[in-house]
Amino acid sequence: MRELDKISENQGFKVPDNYFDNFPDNVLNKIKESSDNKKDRFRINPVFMAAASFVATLIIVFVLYKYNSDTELTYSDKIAYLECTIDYSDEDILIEEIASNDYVNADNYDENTYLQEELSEDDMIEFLSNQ
Amino acid sequence: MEQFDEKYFFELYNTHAEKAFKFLIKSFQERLYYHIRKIVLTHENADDVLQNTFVKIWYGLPNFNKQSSLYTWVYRIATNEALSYLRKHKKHFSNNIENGEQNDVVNTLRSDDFFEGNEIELKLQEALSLLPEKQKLVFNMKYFEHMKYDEISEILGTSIGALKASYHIAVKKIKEFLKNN
Repeated sequence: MRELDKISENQGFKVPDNYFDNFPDNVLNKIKESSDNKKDRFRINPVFMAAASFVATLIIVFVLYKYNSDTELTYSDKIAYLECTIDYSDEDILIEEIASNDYVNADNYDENTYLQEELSEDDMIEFLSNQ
Repeated sequence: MEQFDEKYFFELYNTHAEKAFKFLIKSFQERLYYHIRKIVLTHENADDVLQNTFVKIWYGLPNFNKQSSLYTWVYRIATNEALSYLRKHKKHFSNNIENGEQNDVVNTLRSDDFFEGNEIELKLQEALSLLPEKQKLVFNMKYFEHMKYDEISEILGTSIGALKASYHIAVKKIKEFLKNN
């Protein structure tokens, strides 16, 4: 390693005059520049912001309109929904649901009328013969 | 090597971050510069890498968890920054010696205004350029920067045993190169 002993610690590498004197300020300037650039990246042109807000409002209105018109439930949808969601063991809830949705006017409900309307004569004969 | 007062630095950093950072730059700039310069060779590249290193240190300081010493942490950032710079500019630093052409390292250094090395120093750079990345790093850190194996181990994330082996092989190769050239 005799040759290596002749080599200086910095291996012949030099720096420009006053390089290390100015270096800390150069770094701090670079940091300030980079943080300014970061801020600029998030600064939005007001005209662009107004246009974007207008477009966003239009999109929201369109989506709300579309959603409301498409999701209007038909009568059979409502029945299907009730069948799926209501626990039939709880009669009170069932009655409340039917009444609140106005499927049957609960105040005028007459069991005989319902039977008369719904059962045909054939149905009644079949029912009695099975007894 | 001048001792860096880490406790004083963090006390100052908590109240005057910019002042503390300037103190840190002044304490490490020269050591880190030559550490980086030995990896990227030209002053222009070393200046670029050193500035980026301190920018990263500045943004990393709020999250520094003090599991390692500040000294090894800044060295690790500098080393990684220099190595990634080399990888990004791989073509520029490619060594054509395998094709029988003159070593690019010698040409690069001869054209650098801030290299004033003699013939033996040029030969050393040529020999170092033929070493694998880690062997070159370990040799420089141990032989020229007088670092301890445990410090190098923490900076490079390599076991002390592997570092000793790398250093031994590097010395052998350099000796052989200088003897034959």
